[in-house]
Amino acid sequence: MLKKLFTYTLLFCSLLLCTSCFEILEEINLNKDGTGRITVTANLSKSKSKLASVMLLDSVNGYKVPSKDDINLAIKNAIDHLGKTEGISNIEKSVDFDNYIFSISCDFKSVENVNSIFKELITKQNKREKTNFNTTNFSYNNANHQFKRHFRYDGSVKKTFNSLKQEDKKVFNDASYTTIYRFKSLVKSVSNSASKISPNKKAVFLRVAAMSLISGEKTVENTIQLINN
Amino acid sequence: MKKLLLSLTICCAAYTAQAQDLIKNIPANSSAVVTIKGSNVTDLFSIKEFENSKIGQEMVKELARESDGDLTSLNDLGIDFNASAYYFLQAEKGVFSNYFAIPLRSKNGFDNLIKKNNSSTEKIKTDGDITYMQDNYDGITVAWNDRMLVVVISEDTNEDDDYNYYSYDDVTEIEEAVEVAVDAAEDAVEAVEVEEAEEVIEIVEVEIEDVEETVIESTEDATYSNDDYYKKREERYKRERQEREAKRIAKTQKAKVRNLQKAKAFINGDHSSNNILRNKSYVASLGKQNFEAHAWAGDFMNLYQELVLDQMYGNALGMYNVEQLYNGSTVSSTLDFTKTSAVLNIDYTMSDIMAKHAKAMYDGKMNKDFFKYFNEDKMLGYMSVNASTEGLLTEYPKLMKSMFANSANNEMATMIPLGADVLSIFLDEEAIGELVRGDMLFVVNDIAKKQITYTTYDYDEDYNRIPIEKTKEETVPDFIFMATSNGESIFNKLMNIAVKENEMTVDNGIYKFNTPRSVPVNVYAMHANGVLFFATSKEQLLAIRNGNFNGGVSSEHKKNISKNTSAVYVDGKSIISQVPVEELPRDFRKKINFITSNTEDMLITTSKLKGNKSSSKVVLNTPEEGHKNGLVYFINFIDAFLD
Repeated sequence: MLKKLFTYTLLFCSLLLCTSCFEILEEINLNKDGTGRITVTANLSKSKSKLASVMLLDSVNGYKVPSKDDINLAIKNAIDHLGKTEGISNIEKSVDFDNYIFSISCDFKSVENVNSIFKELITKQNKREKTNFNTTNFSYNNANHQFKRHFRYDGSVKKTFNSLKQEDKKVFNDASYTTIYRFKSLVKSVSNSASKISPNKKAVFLRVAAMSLISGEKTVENTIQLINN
Repeated sequence: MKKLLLSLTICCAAYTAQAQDLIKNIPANSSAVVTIKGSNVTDLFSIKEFENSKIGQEMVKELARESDGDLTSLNDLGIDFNASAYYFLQAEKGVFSNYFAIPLRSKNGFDNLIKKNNSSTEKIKTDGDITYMQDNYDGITVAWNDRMLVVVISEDTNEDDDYNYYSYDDVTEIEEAVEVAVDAAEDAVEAVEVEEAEEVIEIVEVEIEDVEETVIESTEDATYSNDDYYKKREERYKRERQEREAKRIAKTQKAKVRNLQKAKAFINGDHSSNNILRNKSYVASLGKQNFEAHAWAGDFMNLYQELVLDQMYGNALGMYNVEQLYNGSTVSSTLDFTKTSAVLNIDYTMSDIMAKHAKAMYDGKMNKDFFKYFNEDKMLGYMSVNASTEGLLTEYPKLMKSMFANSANNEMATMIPLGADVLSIFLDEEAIGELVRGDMLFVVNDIAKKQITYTTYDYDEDYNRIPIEKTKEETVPDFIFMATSNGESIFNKLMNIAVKENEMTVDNGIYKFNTPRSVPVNVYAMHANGVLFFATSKEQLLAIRNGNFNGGVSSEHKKNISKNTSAVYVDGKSIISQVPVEELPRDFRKKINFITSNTEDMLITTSKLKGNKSSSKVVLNTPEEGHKNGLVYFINFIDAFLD
């Protein structure tokens, strides 16, 4: 009974008062030969009070709340999938349930290998929901030293978002998507004006608010021209 | 003589007043009756006032639209808002009839509304002074005259449910067809596997799925088109559909006849000589009739028996001794609006045997020391339970025994009482009662602001990620839980085990739960002064142990907590005032001004058993300023949220 009382008191306060937001980080360290390492991180630390409360429940707002086991299983499945993907090696994961930060990283022989990780998933999604998402997310042309982050906005994102309840939409208010690409060569130019080139000219940083991405106002699409040196 | 005349006049007036009340038309054997006491409602809030409210304006607008402008006020409907409206349920031989009865001043308004909304006036029929119309699908009947309107919806549970689409034969056939299709698919898959043996495994797997789908589809096609099986089945379906439809029409026809007869009997006052006012339990539940709404449900067993008698659930009746436990149980409830509150009373009268068990289970004694350990000035709410652990552990097995002792199910009749006995042997009720006596109190002291750390990232010049800790302010509850306990040594032993298992840490006799970092509050445990404490404030526990905590509670709350079996109190006004507006959902912020200045407190209590009766009460206190009474408060509340 005490646990229930504690749970519901905490839940009442946190659902009403605690803010919820998250950030997704996509980092690629690219070598000159096109090999590299990608790290994808989901950082929900700022919402940890709310998540800790929500995870005491089976479901909230009609959505099933995944247990720690469910999350661990999903990460394991992702790692198994990566392990089977050609050109992917040295897979590492990091799971922190104290801060709700989860990340997966792996080496790749070429960015094409990274594309193939999600290719099947995106193709299925496009077929099922009649969407038009890119199956190629990254490309690197070794000849002209050009790295591209592809992104094609699809109106279905906004439509799906609009169908959410007002309370659920709030989750995206302070959320962001960050891409960081680091190179061994110097960066000559970037196509996305919102992105920033580091002072040492070897990294490109772009942070887009989730709401801008959902509405299609901003994009993570970027063409990065490197100098051959 | 004058006195006699005066008495006669009063008698006649009383008689007339009663004769106009539809209560006299409700049969004595009704299982449940709900009353909206019109005169009490309109005393609190007149129809004119209601029409001026936003919700009232919306209703009038809708009424004018529905009647093409013929009706421009609620009074035009002809409803006698000063008389009482009723809902009642009658259960007779498996026929459940729901009645909604509304008193009328005249039928003109309602006639107009019905005619405007029914282009075909053929549906509207008259019989003497009664006008009625009936739904062709389920026989719902609306009948009215100049004095009243009644809606009758009934269902005969003795009749078959004719709406199942598939019969058992159909299901078997479908299963067989699926099996044939699956067999064929498996054969084809094997063939494909042999042919494609050289292929890479992944490719084969994808193809298997495709082949399975194709084969299942083609097998289905073959099964349906090779002979006249499909045709015959369709014919049979058609025949069965027609039979079902005929049955449904006959059933509706029966319902129409039954409903009309019931509606007429009600309007004509056929039950007036044996009406519900002759039902002692009902009359006793009415009290002084100060309420605005009243609900009563009579003997549960009668209703239950009507429902399960001759039905497929019949066996459930024999499964356990429902009759013994619930015989004579009734529930009644009243809703009463006063100048500064809305009060909901619920009385549950239980059977003698149930009352005996309940009395022993809730024979608790609230520890008066609890009142020394919290401060009303800093209290946002509480929840108390005044039970007896020993009584619960002793009576629960007895309850299980009496429930199943004469069960029609032999296994249950043997095993459950045996299990209950075994449980009683193993449990030392007295010893467990020592550990937790059964009286408990949970108090929310405050909603405090707390600095919470979270991890985010900073980036160096080369955009290398550096995790950093930031802080933000979050609002977390501060609470204390108390339970009377004489088991200090058992508590310490349990805590020491938890410390060894790294589930807890101990400091100066106060144990701290090792909650995950993500949980924004710490929870401490302590056993002192014969009380088991769990709290979020270590300082409060230390002060209690050292005897220098300044507690203070008003006699009103002391009474609520100690005199009732359970009490829940929420100080809405204080909670709302502490909620940081900027942290609330944006849409909610607009309404916060109304809530901040219009929220008081709420108390829910369940009394100790008096005789066989347990009484629960929900009191929502409403602010006096700006609201004439509790009912007006609710209308204003709805208005504020209608924007």
